[in-house]
Amino acid sequence: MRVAAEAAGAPPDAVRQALTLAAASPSSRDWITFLTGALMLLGAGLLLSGIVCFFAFNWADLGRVAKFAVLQAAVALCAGLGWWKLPNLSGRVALFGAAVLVGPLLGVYGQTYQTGADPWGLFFFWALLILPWVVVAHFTALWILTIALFDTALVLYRVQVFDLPDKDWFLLFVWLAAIHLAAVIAYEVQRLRARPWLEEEWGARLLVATAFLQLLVPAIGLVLDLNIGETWGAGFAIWVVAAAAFAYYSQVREDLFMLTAAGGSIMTVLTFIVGRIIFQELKLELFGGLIMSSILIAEVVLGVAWLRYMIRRPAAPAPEVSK
Amino acid sequence: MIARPPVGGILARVMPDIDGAARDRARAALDTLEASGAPWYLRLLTGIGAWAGGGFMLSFIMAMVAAILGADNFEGLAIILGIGLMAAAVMLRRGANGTSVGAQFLRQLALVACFSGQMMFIGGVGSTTKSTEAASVATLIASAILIAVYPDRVVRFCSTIMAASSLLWLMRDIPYCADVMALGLTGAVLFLGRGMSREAQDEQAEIIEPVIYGLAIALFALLIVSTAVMMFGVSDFDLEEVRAVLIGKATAFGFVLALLWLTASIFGEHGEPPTSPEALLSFVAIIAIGAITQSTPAITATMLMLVLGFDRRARALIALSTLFFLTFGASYYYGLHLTLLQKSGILAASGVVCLMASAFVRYRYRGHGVQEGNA
Repeated sequence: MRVAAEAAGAPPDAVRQALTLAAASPSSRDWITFLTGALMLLGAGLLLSGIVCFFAFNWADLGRVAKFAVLQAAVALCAGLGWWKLPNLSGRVALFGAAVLVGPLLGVYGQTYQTGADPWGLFFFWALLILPWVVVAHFTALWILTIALFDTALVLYRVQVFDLPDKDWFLLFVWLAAIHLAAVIAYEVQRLRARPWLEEEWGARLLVATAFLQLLVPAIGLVLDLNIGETWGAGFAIWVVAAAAFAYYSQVREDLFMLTAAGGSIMTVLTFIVGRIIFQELKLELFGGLIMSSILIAEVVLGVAWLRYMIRRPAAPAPEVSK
Repeated sequence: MIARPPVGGILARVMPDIDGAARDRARAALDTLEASGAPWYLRLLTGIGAWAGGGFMLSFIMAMVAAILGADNFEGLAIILGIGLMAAAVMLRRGANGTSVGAQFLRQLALVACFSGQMMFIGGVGSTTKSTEAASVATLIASAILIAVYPDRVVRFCSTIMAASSLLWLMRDIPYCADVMALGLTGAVLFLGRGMSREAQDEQAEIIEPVIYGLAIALFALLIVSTAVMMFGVSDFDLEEVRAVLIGKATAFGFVLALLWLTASIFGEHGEPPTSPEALLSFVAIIAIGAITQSTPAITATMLMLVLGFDRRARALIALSTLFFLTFGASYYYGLHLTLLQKSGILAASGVVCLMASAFVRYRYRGHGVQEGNA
């Protein structure tokens, strides 16, 4: 603020006044909005945790009819509240609550009728059943919950059904990343609509960051030759995904965070490759540290310079939105 | 909701007769400033790269010296080399301005040299004196100097965390050292974030902002270690290192007092005296929360950081505080000596209280144009 005020030729008193205004506490209205929102989210989280703990306790004195009645009533109440209050925050939180309560409902069903189903099925059908609410709610937190349920279902499926051998863990990371990337692709497609379904960016950014972290595991495993076996192809997935991310987030929709995630991941893999060549293949013990340090400096400088260039170059024309 | 007020609007208020040319000059100055800045994730990338590069450079220098002088003659030389590297890094960094690739290369080289020098100096002092206390003092001195003279947020952030850790290590034999440390960190964050004048904050923003984040991370780290030790029962062991991170009732009380002060200060800025019904209600709620959660004082501490983060419009502090609030909240309920059924009742009851409080506040201020928000 000081820089702008002084550049505009403001006298010292005006600069001081501008600094005070710029650093002022948010307005009373903003504080109340923050307080009510925070209390609502906290309250909903605590209440849902209480209900989940209650059914996890599996209270024997409570009959199965009562258990089903309580849970179904709670789901119906939340869904009804959501229908009434959408698109306000309270409506979205209520639908989130309904979606969370479907899990304990399926759990009680499994306990009561001893279906013998594997736990992966519970998470998979939980995610499937709440999909309509996810679509209606336009709520990033609910979208992320659904992806987390699919992730859990996939991990449990691979472990329980296939009794995962060690080397297949690398492939599992690629499948998990694939779920995240499919969700991000869906997010990017809907952003092209005239009225996007979701506009908040944090969810897509979280999914991209976690997808790259997952892809780094097989990529580094391949470089270090960690018994990756016939799943070696998983080690190359990161290059394909990073290339796609570079192309999309620099040409179609500029997003420096996504480019940084892709760039940082590729730089990490490159560092491991160079490290292996220097220390394992060439056995450059004394000067290896110096070369590695120089390469890291060059990598970071070139990477950051390129990323800075991407945000400062003239903006690409906005993609055409569907009507 | 937490966006800063627009610069154009503020300038129009303090300079009602501002013309188009002055506005353009202000815009150009802001553009130049923004071009030299970087978002947090780019800084993170730069910092991780510099730490890794610093590690490799350190290994090279150590191997080189060991090859020339022998493995046992490095300690004294490491101190001199470390100081030399840090001094060279400061000079290099101060001279490397601008946004060209060459300037960025020099800045990154300076960062790597700075971290290597810092590690070498601290390691050299520790190794020469065979004393971790001396190494801690060296860390404190190096960190303080670097925070003051090295114009880089990554170095200032990392140095703050290192200085806080060293200080705790030095204080570990003093009774209630963790309490003193936790309250000291809280006081420092509050002073830098809220106590200083706006002018001084703006003047020293390049130092104050990374230091606040460093102090907040150090506080959260201390609280999480203390909470984990209390939860998993290691506190029964008679280890001074364990006792050094355990916080007690005094800290819980201090956090409540600090939150009360912060709340009163914010009310004061909005022209509400501490005796107004809103302020009194807030004070009662804070005291009640402090009393209920006294077994996990970290909850009050994270609330304090959350309120400060919103007050300063610091998104990263809000995100960090929320994350730690959820962690400490979970540990509080986990640590209650109750059955799962009883815990479920308490969780649900607290949830209902929060929902009712939210509805009450919305109802009370329904005429003030308060929006519920839609995301």
